[in-house]
Amino acid sequence: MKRRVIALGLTLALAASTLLTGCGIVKVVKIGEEGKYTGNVEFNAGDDVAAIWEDSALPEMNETAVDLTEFLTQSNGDLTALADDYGKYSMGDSGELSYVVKGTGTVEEVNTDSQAGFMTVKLEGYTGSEAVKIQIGPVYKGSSIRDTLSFIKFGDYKNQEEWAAVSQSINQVVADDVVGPVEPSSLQGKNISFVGAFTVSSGSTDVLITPVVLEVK
Amino acid sequence: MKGFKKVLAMLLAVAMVAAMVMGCSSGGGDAEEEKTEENTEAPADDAEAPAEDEGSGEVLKGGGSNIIYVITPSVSNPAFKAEADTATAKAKELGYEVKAASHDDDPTKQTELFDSAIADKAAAIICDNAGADATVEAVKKARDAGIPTFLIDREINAEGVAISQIVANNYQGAKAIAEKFVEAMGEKGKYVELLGKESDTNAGVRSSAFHEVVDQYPDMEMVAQQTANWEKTEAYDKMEAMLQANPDIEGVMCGNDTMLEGVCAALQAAGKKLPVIGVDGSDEAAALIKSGDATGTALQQFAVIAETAVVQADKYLKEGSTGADEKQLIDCIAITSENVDKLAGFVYTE
Repeated sequence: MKRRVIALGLTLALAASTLLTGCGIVKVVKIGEEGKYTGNVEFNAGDDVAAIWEDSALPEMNETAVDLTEFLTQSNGDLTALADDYGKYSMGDSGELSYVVKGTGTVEEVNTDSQAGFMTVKLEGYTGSEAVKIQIGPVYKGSSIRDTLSFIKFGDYKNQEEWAAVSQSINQVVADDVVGPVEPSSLQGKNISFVGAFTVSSGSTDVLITPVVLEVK
Repeated sequence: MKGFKKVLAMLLAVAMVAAMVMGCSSGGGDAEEEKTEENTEAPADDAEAPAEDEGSGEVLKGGGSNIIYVITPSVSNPAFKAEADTATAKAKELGYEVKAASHDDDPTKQTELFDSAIADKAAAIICDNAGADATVEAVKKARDAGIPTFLIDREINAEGVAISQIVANNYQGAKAIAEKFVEAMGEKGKYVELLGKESDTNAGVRSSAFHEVVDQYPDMEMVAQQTANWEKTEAYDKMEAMLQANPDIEGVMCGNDTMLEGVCAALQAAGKKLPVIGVDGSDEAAALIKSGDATGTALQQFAVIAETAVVQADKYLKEGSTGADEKQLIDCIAITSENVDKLAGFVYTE
């Protein structure tokens, strides 16, 4: 009997020594920091975007948006003219040029012939020839919103697929939370205000805006 | 029975002691290794402290010689030839001796080339790599020998190993040209896709970018998807076979321009003209776009990428820093009949 107790004691001691020593056998890893040890972090662009959207992305864009009527008047037909003042290039000082803009106007046409649907907007107080279009999906072109945000960059992501996934998730938020609720098909002739981003396209003066705020007046 | 219990007790006791000793000694070993690493790094850090601003460890001095290695995929593809030629020319212009070689997309061969660079005490390595995972070890090995590696075109799945990763934004480029493809197809119809070599990251990247765009259109239907391993003749044969199986194909997406060439030749032979897109921006593809046989391609600015890498290598060797982030994306440019005239020799001139 005594020997059994000793044997049991030793077994427990062995178990304890294996599990509880602070000698590197057991390591406590904080939640979310597993990647530091395994090199593998489960990436989820949707979570990433959810985390930045309300707290960082919207406030920044509301803050930096330039009035589109003034912008177009000042640019005088050359959408790259104000790059230094308001634009952000995808490669520092070259590449694709994106702007954050805001404005109010009347919806002239809601075009859903293409999957990449859009509505054309007649800006208040502007008579220039540029077509102002707001994307209404279901297909959203480009990555204008991601490319204007100051606080995320390609280097923070594992590869270009993850970087692209961020933009896809942003466009999904736009579809669900920005465009969906205002029912674009009902907006013909209505007065709207918007905040959004657009990327200058080569060979066209169309201003194709991906909205982050869309309000019917 | 008594004896058995004694033996068991002894065994348990021995196991317990062993567990404690092993656990502790491995922990202690790690600590010692870390210490010696710190010791060896410390003097170098002190010497380079003013120049280093990236915080990614010690500054690599180069192997000691004046040789820059330029390692690329096979130069039978004009895109990689442009890349290798530009890097070589720029490095020579900056006063380096250049050894250029191809790994033919074989990681083993690439490792051998890195070993040669280490044996040659190369000043730096410029590399368009043979695999996002397979390359990490080779770059580490060069790093351990004090040789900085500057990756071009394709990225690897590790940071802090190479000094720069100057990557063609394949995803953005493939997406941009896929949008043109959908427009040319009128947002509907049956199409096929030819994929690149499976081991090459870009084959997957380009395909997922194509599909991110195209799959959003419910009336676009992919009827076949095959690999042609980036090759022209293979693409010709596959296209011929796919046309026989699906005579009503209305468009073709190709992972690169050499496959686009093969596809266009097969379509011509069958007396068809359909929307066809590729990626790379070769002069051959440009000619097909001009003649209306192809819809478009996404120009990877190989010359810009290669030259940027050499300039950064030179700056890093002289100043201890490139002054740029490790990972840098270089945009692709969608080329269609509208702007194809501005493209020549992988250089786009506004």
